[in-house]
Formats: sequence, C-alpha cells, structure tokens
Amino acid sequence: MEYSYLVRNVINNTVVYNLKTQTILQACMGLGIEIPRYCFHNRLSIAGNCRMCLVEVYGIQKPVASCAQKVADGNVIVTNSELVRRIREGISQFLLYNHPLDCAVCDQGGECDLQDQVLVYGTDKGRFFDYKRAVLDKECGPLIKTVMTRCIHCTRCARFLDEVSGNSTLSVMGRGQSMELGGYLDEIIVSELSGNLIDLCPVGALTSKPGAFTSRSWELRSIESIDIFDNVGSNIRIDTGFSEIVRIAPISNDNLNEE
Amino acid sequence: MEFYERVCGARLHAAYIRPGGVSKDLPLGLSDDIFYFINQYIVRLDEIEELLTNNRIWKQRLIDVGVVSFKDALDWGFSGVMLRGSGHVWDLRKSMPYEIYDLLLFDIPVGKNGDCYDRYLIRIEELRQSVRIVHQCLNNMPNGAVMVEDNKISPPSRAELKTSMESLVHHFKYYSEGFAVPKGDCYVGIEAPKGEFGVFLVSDGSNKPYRCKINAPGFTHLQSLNFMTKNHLLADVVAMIGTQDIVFGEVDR
Repeated sequence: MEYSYLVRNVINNTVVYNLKTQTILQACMGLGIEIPRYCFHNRLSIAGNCRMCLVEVYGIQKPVASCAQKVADGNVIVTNSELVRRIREGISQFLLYNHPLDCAVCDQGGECDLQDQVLVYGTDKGRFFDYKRAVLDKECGPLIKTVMTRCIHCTRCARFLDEVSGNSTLSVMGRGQSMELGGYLDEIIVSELSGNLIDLCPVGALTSKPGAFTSRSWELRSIESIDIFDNVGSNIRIDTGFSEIVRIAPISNDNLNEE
Repeated sequence: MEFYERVCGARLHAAYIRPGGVSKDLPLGLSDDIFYFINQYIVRLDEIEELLTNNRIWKQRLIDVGVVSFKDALDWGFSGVMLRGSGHVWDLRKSMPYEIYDLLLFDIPVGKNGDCYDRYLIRIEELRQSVRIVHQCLNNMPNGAVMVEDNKISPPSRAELKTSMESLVHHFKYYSEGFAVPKGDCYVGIEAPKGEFGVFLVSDGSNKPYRCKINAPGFTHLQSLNFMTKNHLLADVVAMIGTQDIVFGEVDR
C-alpha cells in the first residue's frame, strides 16, 4: 500500500485522514474538537490515568482513552455522545470527591484546569457526602508551595522530573484513597527546572511560593517576552498587576521547544 | 421605593432579576402591605385629580402648551406617553407583549391634542392602570421556585458551598468569570414609564459583552425640547420638561 501511513477515520460524522502515528486526541485537536484532559501534556509521555479524555469508538466495547489510543483505519470516533458526556461528568465527580473546598484560598483559582473543566463538562451538583482525605504536604524547595490534598494524581510532575529534568524525585505511591505523590523519605526536589512544575500542575497542588496570596489571575495583564537570564532564549509570559511584575511563567514556543 | 427596597435589599441598583430567575423570594407580608398601599393610593389619586384636573390655573398652564403633532411625534422618535399623547396607539406591552403582559387586563390611554394637558391625563390614567396591574399580579402570584436549579447559570446557595466541591467551583467561576453567552446580538425593548427603554447587546461568544448599547427614552425626548418650546414662555419649559419626564441620569451617559 502506497498510502499506508494514512488511515481513514470518521470523527463526529466528519471523514478525516490521519497519520497512523497520531493518537485519537491529536486527530480530534486537528479538527478543532476540544477534548478535556488532565494527565496529557504535549511534551510529556502519555500516562492515560486521568480518564477525562475517554471517547467512544465504534467496535470497541468500552470507551477508550483518546490520549493513549492510536488511530486505526476505519475507526468511527464519537466525542459528543451522551455516554461521553456522562463519563466526563462521572470523572469530574470522582476528582472532586477528595478535592478540598479550597477555591477561595487557592492561588490557582481562576486559572485552574479542574475548575474550568468541571464548569464545562462536570455536573453542577455533587453526589458524594463523605469526609475527604488529607495528604501531608511535601517539601519541594524554595520555589514550590505544596498543598498535596489538592492533588488529582495526573502525574505530570512525576513524569516531568523523570523525563525532562532527569531525577525521579517524585513518583506515585499507594493506590485508591491512599494514592499520593511523594519521594523517598523527605527527599527535596533539587532540579533547577523545578519551577516548571508550578506551570505543569493543572490544579493548586503545586503553586508558586514567592507569589503566594498576592494576586488573582484575572487581575493581571500578560505580556509575552523572552527570558534574559538563560542563553537559550526561553519564551516567558510576564504577568503584571498593581503596577509591578507579579510573576513570570513559561510559555511554549514550538520553534524553540520542539526537539 | 420602600417595597422595592424590601424585595431586593437595595435602594437603586436592585439586581433583582438575574439570569435564571430573581435573586430572592418576596419577603413575608409584602403582598399584604402592597395590597393596603394600593387601596389607599387610589384614594390619594382621586384627591390629586380633584385638585388638578378641572383646576382653572392648572388647565391654563397646560392646555395648548408644548403641542406635538402626530407626525412630529413619529419624526422625533418619541415613545411612551409622548407618542400616545399625540394620538398614536403604541404600547410595547400591547403591541409586542413580553413577559406576562398578554395575560393581564389593562387599558392604554391615548391623547388627542398632543399638548401637556393630554399627557398629564394619560399619566394619571396610567397610574390607575398600574394599580389594576398590581392588583392582578397580587391575586395571581404563582407558587414555586424563584430561581432555576441549574448551577451553570445561577449561583448555588451558601449552604451548599460548605459541603459540595461542585457547588464551590461553580460559585467561584460564576462570580469571577460569569458564563459565556453564545455568539450573536439581540435587542430587547420594554415599555418603561417614560417610553421605550431598550438594551442592545452583541456577544462574541465570551463572558463579556462585545458591545452594549442602552436606548433610553429621555435622550430622544430631550432633543425635541427646542422645537417644543418654540414660541412659548420660559415658564412653560418647566411644564414641558415635566411631561417629558426627563431623568438627566439617563440622558447624560
């Protein structure tokens, strides 16, 4: 077959040809279909553990994690069915089951993936009325403030430390209710890239320690710029508010970051 | 004003009608008090009319003052009493019924001469019709929820906030960001006491309006003051501004 690198798919009644190497999530993104996700990150390995990106594929009995599943020839994919909607609602409820009622005091409030996606994809009322678990905070160095109770176990931080910075200080321990991210005894994150964890964390578990309790995201005005403190020209976003620089966050630039 | 305050808690900026319903239920005993009030009010209205309607001085100052012809009223873009005073049968509550006005019984008084006296008579009659409307509303006030239960467009209660994470998230996002309105534009006009009051909104699909234009009746009425006062005495301006019922806050925006 000459065109063996292409496969024919039907996504939400639209016929598309995708590269064989693409995942369902990437194929949907190419069509402009938004699929909610927590654990998936463009630059990290695929974990497929948040289950937020489940979609329906005809012929496969169970819904599949679109971030981990490669497209196959003849796949008929549905992302807006009643089943998918109920899955997203269910996952949101499970994530919020153990999430503390911290929005009012959480620095992530306003730019929190969990808030945004619960608002769009979740139910408006919870069904769980149980005590929430609590998790001991970790010591993550001078930059990162941790409130580990807020963690939703997307494992982005663990994968980043493992794959990018190269020292696997954090990893997942336990399962079910006792699942938490931690390291060996009280090992401190020594990586010079640890500041990126603040940006990676989709919720308020890892937030900026110097910038704690200073501002809300909607009060700030952002300007894109280039970091002058390293010689690779990293792209950054400078957030200003109250007539001073409040924080500096990384942004992605494909010309620079793509290896 | 007192009833207004008792319902919503604020003196001027009520924010009582919100997406999904109204902010809170009527306070206890309010309907009774409104009922007592309108019964007394009808008597006061009679007293006002006794004093003014056939009063020689009152008629001297109003009849043939500030005459607006049928055509002028349309040309100047009048609405409300200014339009009806000139004999034009136009009331948005009747001609394009909104809310529950098609279920209520009331009459639209229309003038003949287009002078200040006609407009005065119309306003007095509208007060009586308003009492009639209030009466019907009191008698037919339905039971039930005052706000939709869907927390995507209405804020959850304070009590739910203490226990439910979903409610907390929706409350946070509702008050910090609001909700996104589908792309498009709309104009809605209502028959306010002073005329047609309308709001034109354009949404670009985000949580803030792309454009918001408010059409206030006072603005169109005030611009005609020049032609209305022509060949009149300075003292008549007072009567004309009075019948136009200008509020400068809505003109000067």
